[in-house]
Amino acid sequence: MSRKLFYFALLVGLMACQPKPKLAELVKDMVVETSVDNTADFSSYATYILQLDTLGKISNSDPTDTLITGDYASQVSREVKSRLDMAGYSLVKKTQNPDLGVAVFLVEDYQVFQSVSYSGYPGYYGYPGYYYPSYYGYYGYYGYPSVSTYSYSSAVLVIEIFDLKQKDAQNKLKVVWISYMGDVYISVDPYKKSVEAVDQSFIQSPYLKK
Amino acid sequence: MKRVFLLVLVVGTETGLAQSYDKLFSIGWDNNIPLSNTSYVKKNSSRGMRASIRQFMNEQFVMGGDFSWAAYEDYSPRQTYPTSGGALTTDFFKYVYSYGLTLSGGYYFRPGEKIRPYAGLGLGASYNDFAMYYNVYSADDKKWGVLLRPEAGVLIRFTEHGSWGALAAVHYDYASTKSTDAGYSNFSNVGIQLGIVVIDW
Repeated sequence: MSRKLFYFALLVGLMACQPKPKLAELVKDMVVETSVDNTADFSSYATYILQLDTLGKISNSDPTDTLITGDYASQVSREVKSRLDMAGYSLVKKTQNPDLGVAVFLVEDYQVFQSVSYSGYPGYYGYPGYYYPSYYGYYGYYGYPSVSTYSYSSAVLVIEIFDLKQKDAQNKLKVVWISYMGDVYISVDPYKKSVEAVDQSFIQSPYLKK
Repeated sequence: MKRVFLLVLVVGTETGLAQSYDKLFSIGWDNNIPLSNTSYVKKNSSRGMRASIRQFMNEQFVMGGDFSWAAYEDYSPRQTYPTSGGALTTDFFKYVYSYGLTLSGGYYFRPGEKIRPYAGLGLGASYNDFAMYYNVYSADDKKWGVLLRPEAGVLIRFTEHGSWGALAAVHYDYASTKSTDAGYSNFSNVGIQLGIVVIDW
């Protein structure tokens, strides 16, 4: 009896040894990370080009699905415009030779994984199931393994600002500022939290002004 | 008179034998206060446990081993941190998962008594996992080190012949686990342990 109680107490203790935060607490706000090219002079730019009401999409689950439209795209892209306007830049058309290009897109990571479990229920000869003869060292029947498939998606909202008048040696446009905001999919309110994250991106980048 | 003397001698000897024992097994709740780098975690940890075994080498000296764990946690509210290339805004849930395995020795005072104060020292290995969770992201730094643990406490046997008892102890842990990511050159803490003891099961 003493031994059983002792082991029970040990087990209960070990079960609690790696506490983790609750998901709802973890995802109440998005993480916002911005990077800047310190050589860029943001006061030298005046105009930008931005696709409104449409976001780009990069996904490993469906490479052909490349655009997002609708309310989410409208709210996010127009918040980006609002913030750039507040910073003193002007939205112009492509034909007006803009200084900056602004790309807003979602990067989706779709993961699938499987787990295999054995039911433990006996199978029967003639029915689906494995039978291990005793000469294999196994006695009895084992059911088919059941395979459970799980999937989840995560997504990061990205804003990239390019200097349209500078290209590198590979003839690529120079990225002068970038913001990563995540996770979008698990957020309790993706619309509101994405707009807040866009605001935060500009708040933590005070150098981004005309 | 001679019979009375013999009776006293026998009863006295039996009582003395009843109060001696060879082994102790204990399991207890461990409440710890972190001492090093309190900018990472500074809150007391009430999530901790220690399981111990002790073998009496004689009436007073013991040798044995301990397995312990403790989980420290703290929270940094959402704020903006400068980074090398920009800035990061998030809140952090910070944890230190601490595990120890030691060889331990000790000295128990007042042999034959129901209440026995003791002092001991443990030396072994520590394994600390310095983990941070933020949104769906996480980062951790897992480190091994040497663990040194002096302690003092008291063992109380509930009844003269029973196999159950209790212990209370205070200990200081010094672990050489170093984490550059979490800003630790070592990990140290003081702890108070309250436990149950099984005697010679």
